[in-house]
Amino acid sequence: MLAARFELRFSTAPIALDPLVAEVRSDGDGAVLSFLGVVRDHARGKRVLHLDYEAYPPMAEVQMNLLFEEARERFGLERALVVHRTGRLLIGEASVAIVVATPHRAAAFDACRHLIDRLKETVPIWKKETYEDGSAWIGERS
Amino acid sequence: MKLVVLLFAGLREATGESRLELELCDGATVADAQAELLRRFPALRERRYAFALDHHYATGSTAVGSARELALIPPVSGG
Repeated sequence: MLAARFELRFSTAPIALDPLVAEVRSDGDGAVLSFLGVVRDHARGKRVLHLDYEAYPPMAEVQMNLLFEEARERFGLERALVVHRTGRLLIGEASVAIVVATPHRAAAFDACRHLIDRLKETVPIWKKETYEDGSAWIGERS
Repeated sequence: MKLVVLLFAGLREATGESRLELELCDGATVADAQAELLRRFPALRERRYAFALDHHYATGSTAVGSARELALIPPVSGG
């Protein structure tokens, strides 16, 4: 068995999924699950032109490690990689990739869902949407 | 004691600052640091944010202690 391996990375370049899958998978895994969050062309009833992401990486790493630990306790997750983009993203680009590998598929689905849901709640990353008539940091006014 | 303060996203844009230093008294809390920030940046009054001390979420009553970095964390929206 490999040692548990969890990591969060930030990237200003487009995310390539295949190398991440190869990196996370071990020979004891029967399931490798990947999730991509992708930039959509509309939000809040408006046409979106592009997004800008900003992060606080050292704190994001601490908070993401807490979430990896949660997924380990709840689902037995031992291998996961999260890559999040920063900077400007255009429609259709992946803003986040999550790859998890587990011996059996149920834990992979549960753990991946948990990681993306919790990332959106606690990890210090911010998204600014730009529309045809202005822009807004999301979450600020709600 | 010196405390580095980091401001992100809309808070950075509202204040025009991403990083500054505060000089605090011994025994100061996060709320003490916040009071000084509100004095310098009235624009923060209208804003919602959480606090983080050295990368861990904190509250107003948390003692700054030996922490080096206070971050104002606007509502996160990653993913």
